[in-house]
Amino acid sequence: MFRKNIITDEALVKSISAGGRSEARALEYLIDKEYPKVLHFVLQHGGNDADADDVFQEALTALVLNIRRSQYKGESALGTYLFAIAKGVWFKRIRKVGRDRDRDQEVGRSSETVDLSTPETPMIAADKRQTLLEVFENLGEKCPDVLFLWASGYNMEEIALRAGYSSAQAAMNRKNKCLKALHAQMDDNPILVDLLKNLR
Amino acid sequence: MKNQYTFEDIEAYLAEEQTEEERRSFEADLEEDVRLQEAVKKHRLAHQLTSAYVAERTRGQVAEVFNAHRRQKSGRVIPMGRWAAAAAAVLVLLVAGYWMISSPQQSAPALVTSYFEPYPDRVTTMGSEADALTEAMAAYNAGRYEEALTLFGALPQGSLQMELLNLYTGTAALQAGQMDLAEQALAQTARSATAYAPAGQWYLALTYLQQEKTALAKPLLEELRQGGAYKQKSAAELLDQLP
Repeated sequence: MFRKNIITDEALVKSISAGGRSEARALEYLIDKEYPKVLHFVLQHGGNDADADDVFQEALTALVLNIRRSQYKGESALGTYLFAIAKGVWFKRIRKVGRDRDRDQEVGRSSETVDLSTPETPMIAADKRQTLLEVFENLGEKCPDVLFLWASGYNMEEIALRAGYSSAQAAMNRKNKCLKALHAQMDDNPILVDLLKNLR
Repeated sequence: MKNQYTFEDIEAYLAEEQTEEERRSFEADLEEDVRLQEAVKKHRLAHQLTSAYVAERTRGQVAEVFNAHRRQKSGRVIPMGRWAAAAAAVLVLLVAGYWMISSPQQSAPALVTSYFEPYPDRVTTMGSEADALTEAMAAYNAGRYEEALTLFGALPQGSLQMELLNLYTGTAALQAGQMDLAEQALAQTARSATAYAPAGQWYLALTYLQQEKTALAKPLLEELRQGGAYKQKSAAELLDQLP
């Protein structure tokens, strides 16, 4: 079990990369430690508790994705990095609704450079999200997990180990088979094509 | 095209797994060959779609941990003395142990059996005329779901609002074991902008659980739990019991 006072960033990153219960415990630790700061920040900048919940979850999602893709290099403390993402999410949100007071000033003060530019980071509307999940869940045996691991940045050896294949080559074959099934879905499913248009 | 490239060749190009020579040759062909350009574009789109799937699935995982942790925290009591805490921990372990022995975790389909109630008849009223719709609803209300499905399918167009018809059809199909039909019909109601959408989501979630597609059911249940109206309590209970 984690002892909350001594857990290091390195251990947190390892736990998040490992996935499963270990990842969940690392996220719980980050929620306990970092959420109050984000809540305070959002309240100070005209938001409410619900805004803070959304912003924090969005930032935590981006953090997890960046860790899995090895985009977090450990150049700043994990909490600092998470807080910088959360500020970015908040400013993006208020910019969207036209409430951009203090933004330039605050952004200018931030010393962090956070990569939030991945095209899939913006939230997808609920109905489209459901369509997306359905398409992947129905691609074939183990396809959701294999494609999830592959696109999360795991190498083929790790995917073979996690998904129960005998070799990296077997995992690679499965990944390609799943991608072919996805290509077929793209041909047949106009909803999916629409979703792609929205993502671009 | 100078070379015929396979699906795997294009994947290797995008993953930067080719040799320098292979890459140069591939890029030379790519510059001239419109069909190869189209193929590479489609591969890139599939990758983009897969990244979106990863982001959405991760978002769902984070939301699940966040909400469960917050619920757990909000239910936590005031700090006690060490001995009292130890005693409470022992008590919790005893109760949890007893609970685990006496009530093993139910499978997703078993949970569906516990939580399923047919969507109520909002169509027929006492004294309704014996038309095709009344006949179909009578079969539905009596739990004769296969017969109801046949009768729903034969209803003249316009007999019933489409979203409501899909809701009854999907619910009956779920009970009749016709999962593809249930998914198709309920998804249409769930995505509609009508008052029946939450009911569509609920029965669609049950349809997924019946097939053990838990990952698809959870976002729908989460939405109902946060929605604060239709089946909020049941959705929250189900989420707590799902693996």
